[in-house]
Amino acid sequence: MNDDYLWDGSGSPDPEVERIENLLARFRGSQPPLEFPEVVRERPLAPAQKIAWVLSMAAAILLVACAAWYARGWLRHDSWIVSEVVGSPQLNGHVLRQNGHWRPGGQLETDATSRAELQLPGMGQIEIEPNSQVALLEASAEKQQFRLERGEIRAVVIAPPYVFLIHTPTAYAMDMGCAYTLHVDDDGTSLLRVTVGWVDLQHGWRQSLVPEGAAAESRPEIGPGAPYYEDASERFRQGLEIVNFDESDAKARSAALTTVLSEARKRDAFTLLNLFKRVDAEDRGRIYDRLASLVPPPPGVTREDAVNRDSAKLGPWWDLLGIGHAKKGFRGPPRVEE
Amino acid sequence: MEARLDGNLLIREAAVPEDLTVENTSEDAQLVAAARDGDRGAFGKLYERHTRMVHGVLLAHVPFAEVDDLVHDVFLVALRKLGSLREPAAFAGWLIAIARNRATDFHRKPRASEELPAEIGSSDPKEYEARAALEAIRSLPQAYRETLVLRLVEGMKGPEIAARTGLTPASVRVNLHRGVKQLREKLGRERP
Repeated sequence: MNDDYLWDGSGSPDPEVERIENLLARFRGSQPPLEFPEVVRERPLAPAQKIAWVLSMAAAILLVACAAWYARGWLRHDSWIVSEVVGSPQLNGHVLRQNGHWRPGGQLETDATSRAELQLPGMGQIEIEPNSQVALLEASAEKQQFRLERGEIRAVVIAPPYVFLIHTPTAYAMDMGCAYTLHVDDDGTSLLRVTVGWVDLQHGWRQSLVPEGAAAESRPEIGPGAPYYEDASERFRQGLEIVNFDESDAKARSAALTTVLSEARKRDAFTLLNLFKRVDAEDRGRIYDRLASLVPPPPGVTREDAVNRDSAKLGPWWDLLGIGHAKKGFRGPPRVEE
Repeated sequence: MEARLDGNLLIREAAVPEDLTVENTSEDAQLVAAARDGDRGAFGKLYERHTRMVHGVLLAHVPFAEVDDLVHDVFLVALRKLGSLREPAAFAGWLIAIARNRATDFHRKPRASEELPAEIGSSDPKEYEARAALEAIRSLPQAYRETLVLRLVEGMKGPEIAARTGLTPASVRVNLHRGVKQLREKLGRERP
């Protein structure tokens, strides 16, 4: 080893040391200008004035600090605060600590015995359940985007609609002011359960508006199916699964749709409205007939409008279901006596 | 130049011109005195003289992304507490103590971000190698760690490191020699 070069740069450079120096030069300090706080020299105060001045300054600083702390939480949306940790969840391979922050780019993993709860003032709260893998893709005032690769997230969102998104391998869930649970299996199949408000579940051309109390499944290569209430009959749910996800057998789908229509309750009308865009023209006519018998269509909306999938005309039908219109605000689930 | 044997390393004791140390400390003392009287220009000069050293000491302990902010913090703390510095000539050592304390505070507090391990931080092989080298230096004992960062990252020469840190030239030389030896072993072992 050439100690002279290492010591003061003299002599012939040691190639290995020189190579490491060149590599590490990128970390060298750039000496940015130092910004000094301004200091104002004042006339000395009398002792009594000094005490009064110190007290008033302390009060003012306390007030400003409280206001700043309060505002900071609401104005900064660039990281999520870890509010509770159980077990040893890991962020980028490091054990997550309570009161830490999670910024975009990080990936959080929980094992079978760990979970984490995170908060962002003005945005909401999420709970990451055991055996989950979650990435934070973006955190800003305009968008909060996560990717749930597997496992389960429980979200309570107070952000404006369409700000909070969770991507999964098969769909993405856009919050519309609500609380929900999103579960992703190892094969990418996801299940969304909405407990409050609405969620807009999308993938490609497929879209499902999922109201409070309803659930929607999403499958690889297909995307989200029509949402449903989990208290619907077993036959209704089995038929819906085929209509939603089995595109290989047209006859089987048509038979399954017959079951769905016959088993549908008034409460299930929103599922039928979601099915218009998932079936062919002939089946749209059948859906119209059953839907009209459960919830009469808005004035002027004809069977032909349904067959032609005239969404502008069909849209107002949502308002008659008693569950509100997702984009106009939630009015509560239907209260229909069967 | 005197020589003595320390382990297997022959140390040349008088490798730092004495006047370099004296000049540094006396100039620091003058600048500290002026800065205490409110001369911001003098404090600016202290910043220029020592910012590389503070940057290096911090980089030896905390993630690269945090270093610039902490350098700023260290100098603001120094400015605020300049009046409490008993021996103005010891400014550099005092500054290093502040930097180490800030690094310790950083690790005590919940962190806003974690530095990515080298293997997932970058797809650029040079960047990857650089991060791996920095991580290897950070895994060395503290004395070697800081000295190596100051020499290999900040580009300071041994005599300057000795003059700024207050270490004896012999210590700096030993730290460099042994630190690089351990670094070579680590990088050699970790290289595929």
